[in-house]
Amino acid sequence: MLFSLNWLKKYVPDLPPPEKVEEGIIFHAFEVEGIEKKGDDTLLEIKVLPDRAHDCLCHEGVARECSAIFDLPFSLPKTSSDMALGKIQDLNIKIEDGKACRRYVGVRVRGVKVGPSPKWLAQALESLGQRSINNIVDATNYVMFDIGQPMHAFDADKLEGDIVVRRAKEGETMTTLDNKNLVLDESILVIADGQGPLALAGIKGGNRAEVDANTKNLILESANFDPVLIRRTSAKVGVRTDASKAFENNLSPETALLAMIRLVDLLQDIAGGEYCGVVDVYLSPQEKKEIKITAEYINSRLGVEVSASEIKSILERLGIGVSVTGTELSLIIPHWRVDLEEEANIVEEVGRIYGYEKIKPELLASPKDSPLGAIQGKSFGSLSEKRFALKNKLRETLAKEGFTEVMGYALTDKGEVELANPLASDKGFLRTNLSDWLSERIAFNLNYVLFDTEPVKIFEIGKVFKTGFAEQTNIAIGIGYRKKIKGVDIKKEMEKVSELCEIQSRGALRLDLAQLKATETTAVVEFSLDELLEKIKEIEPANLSDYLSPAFNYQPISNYPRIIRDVAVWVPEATSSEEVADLIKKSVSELCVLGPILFDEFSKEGRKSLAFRLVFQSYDRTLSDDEANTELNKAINALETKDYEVRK
Amino acid sequence: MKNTEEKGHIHPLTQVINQVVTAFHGMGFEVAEGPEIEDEFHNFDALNVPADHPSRDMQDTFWIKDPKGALSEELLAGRDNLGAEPKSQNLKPKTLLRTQTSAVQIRFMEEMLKSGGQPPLRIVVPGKVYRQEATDARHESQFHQIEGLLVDKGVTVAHLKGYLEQFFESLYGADLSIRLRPSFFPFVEPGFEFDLVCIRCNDGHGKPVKGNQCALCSGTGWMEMGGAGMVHPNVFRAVGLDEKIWSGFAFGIGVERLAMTKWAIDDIRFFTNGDLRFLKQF
Repeated sequence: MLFSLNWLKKYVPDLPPPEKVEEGIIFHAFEVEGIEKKGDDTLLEIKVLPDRAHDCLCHEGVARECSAIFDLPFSLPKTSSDMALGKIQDLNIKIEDGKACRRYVGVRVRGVKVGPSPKWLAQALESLGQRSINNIVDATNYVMFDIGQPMHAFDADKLEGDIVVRRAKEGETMTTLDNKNLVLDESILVIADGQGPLALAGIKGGNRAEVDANTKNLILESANFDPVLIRRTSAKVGVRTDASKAFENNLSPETALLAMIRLVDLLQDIAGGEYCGVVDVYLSPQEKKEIKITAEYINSRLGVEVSASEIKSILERLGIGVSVTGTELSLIIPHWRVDLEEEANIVEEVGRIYGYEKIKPELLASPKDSPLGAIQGKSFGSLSEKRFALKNKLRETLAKEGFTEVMGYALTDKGEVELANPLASDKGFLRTNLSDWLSERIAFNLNYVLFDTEPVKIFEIGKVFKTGFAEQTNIAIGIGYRKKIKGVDIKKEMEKVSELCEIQSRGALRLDLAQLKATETTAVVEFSLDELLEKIKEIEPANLSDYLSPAFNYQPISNYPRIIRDVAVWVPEATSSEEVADLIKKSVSELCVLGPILFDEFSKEGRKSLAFRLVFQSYDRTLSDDEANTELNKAINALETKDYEVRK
Repeated sequence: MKNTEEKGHIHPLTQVINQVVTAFHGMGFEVAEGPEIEDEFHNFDALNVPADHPSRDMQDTFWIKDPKGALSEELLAGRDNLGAEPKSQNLKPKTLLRTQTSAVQIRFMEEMLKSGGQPPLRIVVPGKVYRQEATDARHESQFHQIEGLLVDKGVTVAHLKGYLEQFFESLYGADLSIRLRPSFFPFVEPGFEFDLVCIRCNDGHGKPVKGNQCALCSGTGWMEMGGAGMVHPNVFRAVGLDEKIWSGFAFGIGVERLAMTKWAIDDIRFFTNGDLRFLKQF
């Protein structure tokens, strides 16, 4: 939510400069996602998480935090309290379900003037990104951003009889302020009059009693509803509003009356009118909470020494009542802190205001006391450890054989376990095997090999999912060639991998080649690691250090097509191929993204023939043949300068 | 003949996971794994994320369709009246793809207690998690987390800081420091976000250097690393451990984020595209 620094200053006049406020909030309360100067004001975008949404999605709440963080005086705005209200209550309110509607504060007002808001009010709302509508609606919104209590105003002349907070009748209908027609049922709580529903309680007003330009008389509502009910109803009818979100966060019902007094004060100023006595039906009063704690306990959880007097000061700044008896602190929790339930919550309050940066890092005295300390000696303390080790042993074995590990999506377009809410129709199921995608990726990667003799060798270790929510860890291993290669038997290659796995694991890992799916160019095998795991007693730890990549900046993959060129050259027998490759590499520009790769070498009559392949590609355009030829000519020129004979 | 590379490559995410696990092995942590198809209890309720609470909205969840189709509706209908428990106590809990490896905290502690074990315990949980979120260069609907949990007597916030610092120092082989910012995760209290001093531009003694042109930390001197906190008493209560005797800390690290930082990778989708032109770089 957006917060105005000027607005916060109404509560804490001595706030430090904006950057200091931002920093204080970040390290002692909430994440600040943005800060922006706007005229003589500064706006802070503060991310208030669900644990504090009940009291800090409003300026009073965040101002109180600032007061605690900076140890600055906090003062509530002066209100005329109930002096503004007449003695005569001219309103009947009936709550039929006191658990669903915990409190309903109503006031009847006569003779208001609906019109545009004063400039300060319109600006205050606009600075928070809210549109100014009219003085009445703006006043209710202002109070909500001020104290966090959603408010509503009905046109009293459009009402028939008393206000009743009740469950809707099956099939009852209502049209919302934004003209959405709803059919209601008994799970939904409504504010109704003699004629029928006026509003979805705590969620959205109806259009029947809407305040318009001709409105003279009002009924003001400041109520409190059960958070779970509001959450379910809002989800059910598909209407989510600032009000419903606020009630979902479990607002304190105590706030309802305080907010009404502020609203009345404000409306008197900007819309005039005569105010009848407040009608307050409060069937489920909030319980008073008391927590007992000691400084020793707080410090034993934080790992720091905060004195009892500093703890007292921190908690009092947060509005918590503190009385000390010996070593015990008795805390009276203020009504707005519905989140503070037990000691752990108090530890957090003290810790964050005191400052986590003051806590010095420590290690536990004797880690060997942990029974798990022993696992370093015995490699496999548990099934998870064993599975983890087995996966790494397989990776090591396969990587040595030139296989590269891939990871695919678990979500796919067919399977046995289906998602209820997929993101896309082709990602509605969990995969039942790894092979399908592995085969597809072999075909994909074969597009990019440089030689027909170059295989794509990949494997994946991952979960697959079967009927009955059964999941198992599988491994799939695949080899593919672009075309059948003379002298290459793909099944034999797979057998070799199987043998290696077996030897490396002292007989424990044996690929089930009965499941091998092979064509002349591609072979994929897949099996369950879980079954293997049961057979394995012990396995040597893998050593993957050869496969650890240091930090570097990765090379993005170009989306543009590549051009392949070969160059063959006669060189003296004594000349090394590396020397020639280096010469070529230096002669071409960065458009040469791969190579020169030596792919043919033979000697004849005291000379050596070397053939290199080069790949040209741009990151920002499709290369032309001419550009590739120009690059190739640079290489040829370089070779000829050395008096090597380029074979053409 | 050919002149191509013979050695294969280990996936960059596996590399990161292995490095992290190795570092935690060195501090006495044991690997624990758990299912990716989870129930509501282990993924949410036992982690102090009650049904019908706004904290559920913090993670968009993939729900699994019941084979018979009726389960979710039945369950919702059972809860329809305010505050009422589901009509039938026999209803299976709803099934989902786990949104956090934290679910394994609960499973591990349950199994430990069932087999007669007691804390102290130290586990490190690498694994895949799922969120029902649209995919872009920074977000994937499936990604990896590494969760850590330490439970013992007298565990403090100072210990959390100590073990996290030692972990990063062993991972990067340098003198580093971390800082905590207040945050909220339902299963910890207090809860934090933790930042690591920028591994590229610090002063060599683990202290940040602010305001330079570092691309890694945008000149702030710090890099956001993950979430952490002290185990919430409700989590101990959910598994049946006495929260007055035991205390502990938990933390979670995003594996993709670590890998993207290490190799300056700008698109998370590379990890799952199975493209050897990418994977063979590592």
